[in-house]
Amino acid sequence: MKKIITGIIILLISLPMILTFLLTVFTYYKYPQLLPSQLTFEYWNNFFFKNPLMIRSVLNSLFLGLMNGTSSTIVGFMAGRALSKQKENRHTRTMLLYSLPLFIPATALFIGVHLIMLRLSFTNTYLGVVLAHMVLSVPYSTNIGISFFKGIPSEMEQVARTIGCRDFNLFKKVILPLITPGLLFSGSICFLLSFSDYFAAALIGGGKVITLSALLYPYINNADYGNSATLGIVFVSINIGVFFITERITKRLTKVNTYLFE
Amino acid sequence: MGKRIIHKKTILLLLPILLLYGVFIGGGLLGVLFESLGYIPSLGLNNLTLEHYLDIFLDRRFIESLFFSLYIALASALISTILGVLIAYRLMITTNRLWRYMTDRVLQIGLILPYLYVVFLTMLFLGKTGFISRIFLNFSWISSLEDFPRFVFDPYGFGIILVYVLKGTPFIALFVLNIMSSISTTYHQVATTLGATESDILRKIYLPLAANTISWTSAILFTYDLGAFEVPYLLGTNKAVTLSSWLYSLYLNPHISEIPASMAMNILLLTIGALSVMIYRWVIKSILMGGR
Repeated sequence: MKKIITGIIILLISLPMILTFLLTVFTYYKYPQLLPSQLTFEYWNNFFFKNPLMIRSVLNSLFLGLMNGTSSTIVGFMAGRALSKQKENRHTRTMLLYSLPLFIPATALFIGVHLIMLRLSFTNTYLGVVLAHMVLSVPYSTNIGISFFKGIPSEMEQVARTIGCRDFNLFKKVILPLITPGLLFSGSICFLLSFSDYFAAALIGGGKVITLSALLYPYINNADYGNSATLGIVFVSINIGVFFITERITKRLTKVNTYLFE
Repeated sequence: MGKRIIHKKTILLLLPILLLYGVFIGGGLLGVLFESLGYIPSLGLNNLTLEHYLDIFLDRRFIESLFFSLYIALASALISTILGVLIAYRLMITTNRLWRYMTDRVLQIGLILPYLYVVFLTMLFLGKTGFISRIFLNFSWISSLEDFPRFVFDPYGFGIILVYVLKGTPFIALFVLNIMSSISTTYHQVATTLGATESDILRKIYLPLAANTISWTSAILFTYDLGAFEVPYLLGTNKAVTLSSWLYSLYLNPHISEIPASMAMNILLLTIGALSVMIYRWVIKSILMGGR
């Protein structure tokens, strides 16, 4: 009985993926037929060979995601190191400050960011988009940073100092190995935030920096099932792939307990 | 109060985040504030005025749009929070490892699916000509396309709320699961010995102890659902428009004379957003603490 229920649930969850996949290889989907018909490789051909924008947008998104993952993680972990030594009673105030971008409605936030980007001539550039994505991701990386730094027992640092470990070696030999899984985890989360974002990239990138989601948006808006499904499959596969690969590595490396948004 | 010594190192470590927030959030909002007051020197507008705020307040559509936005945000954040907390608690007390593993995986996938893709799936499945409507017709549960209710592009925002709930529930569930697992199981065991039911244990032990995390993550979700642009824009109708999609179309308007109005709207969305999220979090927290 349990196996049957499990099977039904797996089917229900995978149904959207299956239907999406079918829509990328079948072109005819007239109401009320349940599944699409007429086999075609036009959409995938379009993706890989005919429309150069498609591969380009994937590469653009990957590049932006990697840049944002790296830079947000560095900024967030620097702040996390400083904030992890906060006293307990200032906990909420600190959390509010570094999470500020999460408590401002995104549309209002990014129109303000856009004004500044115009002044600095960062609009339509990769730098501008990465900076905008950093505003969105640093709250998360800081939070992960704090929770990983808090997980390091203070005795460990004291012992290292007692036996003569200086700042650089302390960082390289004690702290870095302990926070490496956190760095990876934060990097993957910030990568995903950037990779999945539509609004900031469209506004700041201004049609010059074409991301995967910026390309997908008009197809969905026009209910172009074939192209939406093709881009959607690529989108989701990269997302899930990145997340589970880093999760696997992170789990293997983790040695400290961490709790997010305490 | 003792002397507060702030290390040079702390300041250096905090410098990047302060610069990032200061320039792009602080600077951006300052720019928006000035332009909303009609001060745009580059366009030759130098007078400070409140008329743009007044114009918006007197616009009946603004009030309608505001209530629609608040309704969407409140409904989706509340439903996601309730579902998320229940799933997290169920997942934590379950002894079936297979279920736990599978639910965990489903939640993670739900968390990382892009909003755009969930919008696409919602249209594909729940639209008038969507998959579910096709099933109904094939089984003759409905006689024509017209009998299938309008779930997306509907005036009540069902489609929008559905997408937010699908994305919001895993967010809440994973964070809450994380914090609930850190609560000592001793409380649970003692309460069980004293004859407490599972629902008592949830209400009297886990909810108050996890109240902080639940209320903050729920508040983040509320803000997101209030301020996101693409979901209501793709799944909404012309009749009921959220503030965020209205604001964005106003911002893209090429008429220079519309700039101060859009900036005033921006400030209003921001202020009302901040106020409502504060109230929202306070109410949620009070409910979770059970009046303590």
